[in-house]
Amino acid sequence: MLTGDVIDTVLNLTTFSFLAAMGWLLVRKGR
Amino acid sequence: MTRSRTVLSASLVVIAAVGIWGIVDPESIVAGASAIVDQYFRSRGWFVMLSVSFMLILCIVLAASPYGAIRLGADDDRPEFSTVTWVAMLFAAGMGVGLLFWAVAEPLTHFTFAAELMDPPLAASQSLLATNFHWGFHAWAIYGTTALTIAYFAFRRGTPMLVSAPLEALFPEERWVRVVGWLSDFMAIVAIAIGVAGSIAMGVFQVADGVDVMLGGEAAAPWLVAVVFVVMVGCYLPPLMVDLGQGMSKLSDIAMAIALALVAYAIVLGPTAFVMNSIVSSFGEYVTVVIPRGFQTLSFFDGAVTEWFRSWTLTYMVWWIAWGPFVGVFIARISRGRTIREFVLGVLVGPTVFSIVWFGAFGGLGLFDALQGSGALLTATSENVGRVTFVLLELLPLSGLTTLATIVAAFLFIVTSVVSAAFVLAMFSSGGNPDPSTRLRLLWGGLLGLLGAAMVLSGSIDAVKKMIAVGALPFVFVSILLCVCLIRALAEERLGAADAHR
Repeated sequence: MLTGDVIDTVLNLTTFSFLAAMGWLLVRKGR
Repeated sequence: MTRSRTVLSASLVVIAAVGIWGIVDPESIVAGASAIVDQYFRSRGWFVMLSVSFMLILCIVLAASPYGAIRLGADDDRPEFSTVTWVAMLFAAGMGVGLLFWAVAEPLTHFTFAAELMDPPLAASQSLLATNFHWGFHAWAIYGTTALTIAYFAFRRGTPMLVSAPLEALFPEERWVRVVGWLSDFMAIVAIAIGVAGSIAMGVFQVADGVDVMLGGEAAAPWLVAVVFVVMVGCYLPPLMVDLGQGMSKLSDIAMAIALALVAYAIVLGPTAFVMNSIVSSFGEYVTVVIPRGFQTLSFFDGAVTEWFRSWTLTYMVWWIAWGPFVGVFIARISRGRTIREFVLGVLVGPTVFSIVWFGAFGGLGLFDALQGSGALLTATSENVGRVTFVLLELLPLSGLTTLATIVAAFLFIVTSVVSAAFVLAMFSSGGNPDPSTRLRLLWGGLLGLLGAAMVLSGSIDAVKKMIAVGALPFVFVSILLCVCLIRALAEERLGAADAHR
């Protein structure tokens, strides 16, 4: 099986969410 | 309760708790910190390297693009300090005591590790390359982007010098911003306090070892470490009570002048040709691989190599991130009136070139001894890293004088760092007040002492590195958030200028 470690997956999902949020902050309309 | 009060209370509670825990049960705090750091580095090593590479590339792009012409301040502001003074101040603030501590020890530690995997000459050049990478452009890009964001918003948009200010200036009145802004200020304070306390411990180990060498001892006894610690705390508390104005920067100039004299002395009195060859070749190797090396995560190597990567490269990167808000505020304060291009070139190039010369010289001397000499420095590195700089000085003439000079420089670096850190912490915990109260500065000075004691009691430099990393981990995210705020603000300014032209 190639299944990864659970903690590793969860931590990286939060990292991906953070990166997505940063992308959104860059492109969203201000004020 | 006002917002600055809640930031202050929360950070005081957390930092005091960590300090007390570290003093009462040093072993369990080190074990806890190690478990967290190991998991974080296993899972997010790629993210740390990607982040620091992004910061470096952002700096280069900003300097090379039309944004480079934007001035940090009003368009007619001009710099307060000459470029040479400014670069010297940057360097003294950003590197400090670590330089003296690791000058010989770091290249030799890498050499010992690499020599098991490759031929000694190749191991020697790889060890200098790794050291230059740890202290070079990436470190300064971390400081640079944090400083640039704080400076840009403070001087062009009139915000207070707070980590949360850029976000609040860009998205005012939004509820999530208040939460994230609060957390950013809180995380900045924790990262600075733990990072600076780690440097206090490193400075205490270094000075105690130096004094022990002068007394002819074999290893610094616990009582000597305790005496050095108490004297150090006794020296940094008075300057927090009275504003010494330019006095503190003079002390830091003296430390920097001693460091310069030491490196010149090592180059001239050591095997000069070998040392110059080592500086030139390590410079060439470093600049040709600096960008790809930043993306290197060494994931296809075996356990020993990945462990080395985590305990050195990743640890250094988060260490610079921990110091980022503190050094960032300092750099921002002295950089008003410079253009973004001048700022980036000065912050990145000046200190990095000095680091390469420094490690090329001291590391070169260490490698000379390992490859062609007695090997005494390699033995000293494996026994006690804090002592290696002094063992090297003993192999050169006038060792009594240079040992004393090194002790004085280490002492001054620590005292000036702690005084400025206590000032920045007081500023951050009082809503960005540029002139925080004496009481608050003293409170932070005392807490840094408490945390420093916890770090000293942890007993080893490896434990100190783990504790610094754990304090800095959350701030990695804040650093990226600051970069995003900067990019957005610059784009807004450009669009505003374009609209004005129409």
